[in-house]
Amino acid sequence: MKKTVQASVGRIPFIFEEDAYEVLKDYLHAIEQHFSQTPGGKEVAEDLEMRAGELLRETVAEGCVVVLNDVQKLMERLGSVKDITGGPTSSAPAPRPVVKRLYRNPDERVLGGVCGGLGAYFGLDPVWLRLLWLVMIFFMGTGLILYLLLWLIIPEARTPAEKLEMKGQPLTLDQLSKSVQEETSRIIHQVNTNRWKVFLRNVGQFGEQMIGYTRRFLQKVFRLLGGVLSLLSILIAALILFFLVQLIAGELAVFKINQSELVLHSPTDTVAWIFPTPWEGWLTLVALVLFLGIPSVMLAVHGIRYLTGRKQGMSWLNIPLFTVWLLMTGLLVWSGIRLARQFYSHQYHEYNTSWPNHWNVLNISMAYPTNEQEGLVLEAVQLHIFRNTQDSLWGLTLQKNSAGPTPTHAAALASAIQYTFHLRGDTLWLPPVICLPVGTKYRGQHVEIFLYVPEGGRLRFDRQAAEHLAHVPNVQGLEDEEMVPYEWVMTGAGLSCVGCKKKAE
Amino acid sequence: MGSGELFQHLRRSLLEYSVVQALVEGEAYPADLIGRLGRVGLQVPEGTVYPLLNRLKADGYVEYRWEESPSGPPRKYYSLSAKGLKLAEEYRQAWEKLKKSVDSLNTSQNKHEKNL
Repeated sequence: MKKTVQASVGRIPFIFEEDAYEVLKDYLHAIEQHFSQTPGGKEVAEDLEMRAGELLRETVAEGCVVVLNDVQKLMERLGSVKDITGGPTSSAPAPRPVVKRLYRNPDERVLGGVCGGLGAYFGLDPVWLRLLWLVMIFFMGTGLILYLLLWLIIPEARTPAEKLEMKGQPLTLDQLSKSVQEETSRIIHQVNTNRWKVFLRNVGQFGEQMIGYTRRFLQKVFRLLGGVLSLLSILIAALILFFLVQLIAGELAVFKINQSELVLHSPTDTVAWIFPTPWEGWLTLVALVLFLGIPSVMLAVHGIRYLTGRKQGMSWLNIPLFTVWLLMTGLLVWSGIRLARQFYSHQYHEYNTSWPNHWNVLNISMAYPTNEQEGLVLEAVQLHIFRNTQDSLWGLTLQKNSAGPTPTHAAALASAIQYTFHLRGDTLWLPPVICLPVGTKYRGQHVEIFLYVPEGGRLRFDRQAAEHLAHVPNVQGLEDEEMVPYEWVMTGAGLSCVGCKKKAE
Repeated sequence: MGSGELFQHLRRSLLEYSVVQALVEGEAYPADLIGRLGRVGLQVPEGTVYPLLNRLKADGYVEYRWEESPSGPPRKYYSLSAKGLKLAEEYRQAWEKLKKSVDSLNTSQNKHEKNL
């Protein structure tokens, strides 16, 4: 049984046996190569191919496959390449480059033809390789595993052309017909009666079948895996691109620094509040978009190309795109370092005040201010509560913090923070937000409030305060959110819950 | 050079002359042309005729027309142009002259041999 190839010769369709096809292809190729260099030669080559098709049609019966013998007869009739091209003196057909490829050798096979193929590739007698393999089997079966792997990976040389490639011989007409003849004689001499060899050949054939199944199975698995991976990569790319669009549209610009949440609702705002200079800001934004965008677009393109099975494409774009990407990465690093230096120094500004205890219970409200504020409003306030160990007054320290490129800058930014609180009756209002005036930069500004409660002082929080308590220590060990519903009293041991005692009883 | 090889060499040199003469008989498809040559003992590989016809056509000695073939793609039928007919005549005269010279050379050689 032989593999067949469908091809048209001079616009007439034929079915060839593979070797016949190879030989004819090379013959016509050689003629075409020769005539491509002479004016009007293309026509000659076409005429010849037409004639070849006609002759084949005359000699090969309808419904029959073209065999090597038909092609050889045809070549006798039309003349050898040398005859047609006018002898070896005229420019010889450009020889195909000699390639050597690793194949399994079906002619030199004992099991899978791996040693035969390796031998042909490295120019060694396969017998030595077989010996080496036998020795390797005794090292924990390494040889066996290696052999199976190679059997699986290396393809078998099937066509005469592949066999020539395996041996690294030039792919010429002479070599091809020689190898075809060799094969014919080999098949004739292959009637082997050595029992061992017959047994091994049977094992080899069985193995070949199993390897074939395994290979097909693995191909399917890889194809499936490839499909899943490419779908995943398209998904990831889509997510990143979605994020970028959101970023540009200003729907998404959240920077979390120092527990304070800075929400800037447009790229313009981001540039104005964060970056030292606007052009640096815009450059960084563009760099960020390209830094994330280029790989995701590539990822998506590769994914789609894999799924649609289109292999060739815009590979010429790879190098320029990669160069741009590297440039953008460099820009981001540079900008990142410059930005980090803006946060180098840290300073604070403190304000102290105190009141006598003239209320029964102090209500601490952290409601939002109702009036509109000019500037950047940040929710960056934390309330710490300690026992006043010095006197019986309620003490309050307001600490405005900021980072900056230098201590002077940081100090200036800290005192520029706009924050007001007030005490009315028995209610202490501590707004949860600070405001940065227009024209300043965001450098991690935040406010820390330290409330010193005298022993016996009672207090209570409103609902909003829960989010701004800074892990207030208490006797009951309650979390900040759990503290809100109860009334608290400062004892010698610390803040203690009043309400939950009742509940416990 | 064996005698077979010599014959081949001569035949190849004379191929152009032979093809032109064969076309004097009338229009022909390359395969017919080969047949005409073959019948008079000038077997040449078919493939050699194609480049030759192409060259003659480029030089304006032959022309071709397409004709539908009963089996397969259309065929090219070649014929001599006016210029080609003139060439055929020139060739024929040159050949006669050459033949006479070569023949007389042979006969003089024979005489020479006899004299020895």
